[in-house]
Amino acid sequence: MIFQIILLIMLAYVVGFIYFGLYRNITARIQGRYGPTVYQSFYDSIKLFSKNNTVSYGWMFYLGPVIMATGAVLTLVLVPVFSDSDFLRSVTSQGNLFVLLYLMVLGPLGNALAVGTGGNPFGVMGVVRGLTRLIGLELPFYIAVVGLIIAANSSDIVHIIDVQKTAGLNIINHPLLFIGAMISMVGFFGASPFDIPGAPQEVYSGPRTEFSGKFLALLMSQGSLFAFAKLVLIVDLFLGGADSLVMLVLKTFTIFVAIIFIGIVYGRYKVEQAVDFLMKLPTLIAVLGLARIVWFG
Amino acid sequence: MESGFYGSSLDGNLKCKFEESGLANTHEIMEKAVRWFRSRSIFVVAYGTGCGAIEMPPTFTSRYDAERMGVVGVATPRQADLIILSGYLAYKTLRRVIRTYEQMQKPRYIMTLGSCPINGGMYWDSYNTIKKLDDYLPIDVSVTGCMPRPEAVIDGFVLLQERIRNGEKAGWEKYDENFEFYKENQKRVLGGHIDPSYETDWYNLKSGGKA
Amino acid sequence: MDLASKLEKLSLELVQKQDYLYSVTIDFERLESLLLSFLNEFGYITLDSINCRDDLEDGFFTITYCLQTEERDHVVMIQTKIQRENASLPTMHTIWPQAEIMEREMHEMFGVDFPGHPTLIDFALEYWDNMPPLRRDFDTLEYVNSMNPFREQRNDALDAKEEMKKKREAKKAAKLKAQQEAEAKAALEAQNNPSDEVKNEE
Repeated sequence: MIFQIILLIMLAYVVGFIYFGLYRNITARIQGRYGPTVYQSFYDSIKLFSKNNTVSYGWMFYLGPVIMATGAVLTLVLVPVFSDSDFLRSVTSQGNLFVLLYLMVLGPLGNALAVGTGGNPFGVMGVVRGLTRLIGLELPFYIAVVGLIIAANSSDIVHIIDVQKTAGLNIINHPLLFIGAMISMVGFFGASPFDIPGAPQEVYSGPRTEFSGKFLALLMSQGSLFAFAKLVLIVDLFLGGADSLVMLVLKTFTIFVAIIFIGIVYGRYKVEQAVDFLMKLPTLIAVLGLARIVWFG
Repeated sequence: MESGFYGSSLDGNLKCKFEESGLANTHEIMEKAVRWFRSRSIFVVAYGTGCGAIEMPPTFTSRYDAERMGVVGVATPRQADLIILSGYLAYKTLRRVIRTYEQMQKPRYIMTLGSCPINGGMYWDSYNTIKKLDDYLPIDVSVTGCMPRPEAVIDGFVLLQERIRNGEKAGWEKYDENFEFYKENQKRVLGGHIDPSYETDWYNLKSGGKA
Repeated sequence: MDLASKLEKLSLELVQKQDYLYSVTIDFERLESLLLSFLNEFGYITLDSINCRDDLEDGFFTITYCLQTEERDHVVMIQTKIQRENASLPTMHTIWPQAEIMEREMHEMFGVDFPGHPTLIDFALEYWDNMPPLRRDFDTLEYVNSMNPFREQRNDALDAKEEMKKKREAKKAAKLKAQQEAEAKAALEAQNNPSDEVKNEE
């Protein structure tokens, strides 16, 4: 079981970093430049791990990235990776969707504690922006998840995957829920138009402003792990899971590319604009999808 | 490999451990690998002083695209490896630059653009501008020209990458070794007020600006 | 123009510099009241800038207030002279808020004092303890040389004039040599087959 968890983390690390390399590369190609190599995120991560760290704001500051990484790893471990086999599904049966939704918020809260200790005004601004945005982001996603739970009559992700095998994929059966969840997923990935917390031209790096060297590397690593976990979660919930590694990469990559393209096309919202938008259109779509499930099955 | 490669505190311990266990060779290989990764990933904080700041946007955007070599701009000195000083430095600017440089984490490098940081350039007789930046901060790469084109800046990046890869003695090591020398020079010009004081109350300037 | 006649009542002369630009010279005692009457009576409501010129030889500063009408069609420069030693001016920041920062700059660069000014602190310079740098008795070159000595000349630096001379001489010598060689070659060829030479001459 330990072996499987380690294997899963390694897989997520590699896939997540290659996805982020691809993200930078595809962005570069769309902007008409050559762009970095696919492995650029690896280079950055290893370099950052080899840097010195002389910044100290007390133990809570150091604990923040660790709490974020904990949230990411727990989320990753609780999401079933493959639909058919029990491989890499070590502790999945211990949790369900509700636990996952709690764990997804753990990271931002840990970050808020650490950044508050650091006292950098840009970091605090970034955290406040991030938490404000989270109010808007969670609403459509939670409604979509509630809809899926009602439809499958279970909060177990494995059960939701199994239901999709007989009744058809959720993306076809409940497209409104998928649209609502996807819009908030764009925000969860920190892509435009919802890249408010770390907006480079406004609040420098936002919450990451004061983190350097190894802690920045840890934040980057947990980011890629978390991204992979979220992609697998979306695939499990709406695309019926993946029965092999090829299908897993194919499906997650499709979702990922869609998010990249959305992120490149749009500019950045202001905080209140983003919350306003998320509270209106995606929430409305998700509520319509929920109503359809409740009244028409 | 005399240089403090893992940063000053770690290097000695690690090297001793490796040598005790008869793996001195491994240490060298690791150093080489880490050096290579460092050369491939340079985070830049672009401190735009003077006219050279205008050469930075084309260097980092679509036209010349420094990102293909792993050179990326970051927003804060905490995350940066390289600081680019792109022109003349007034005393007031020098204070901020020293502060910024000392906030960066080791290993850290400095690159200057233009002739002003080398010999004062066209501001050689200004009452408020320094002439030789290398008296106050260790420079790793000077890209000359007035102003250097983005091709020259990229050439400077390539030179810096080669130096990192070859393990040449970097500026931050010289800064640590000759700390007294640099601090003395800084004090001579800046009159002891090296940091901008925290005492200025920017929100209540009318009461005399003192908090 | 009625402004000229209004000023004539105050026994002041309006000089036209360009078709929109006028200047008035006034003594220091009446400066403040004139500025106020320009603002309140003549309609010149905007203060563009306050400038200072150092007339070292005559021993005074020439201060120029540039005022502009609301329609932005006329500018009047009001000039006055003050002593260089312990120079002092009335502050105008209560009437024009923008005067605060202009006066702050003048205080820093020329050492002009403004009694009652709230923020006479550093403007562009920091911790400056020397003479104000734009006063003409401040020896900039000496100050610069004492603070920032020149970089020592490199040992391999060469005298450009001599180098160019050498280059030119070398070029000349090479040319001469080539010419001589060509002549010798031609002479040799002429010796070997004289018929060619005859043909060429034809």
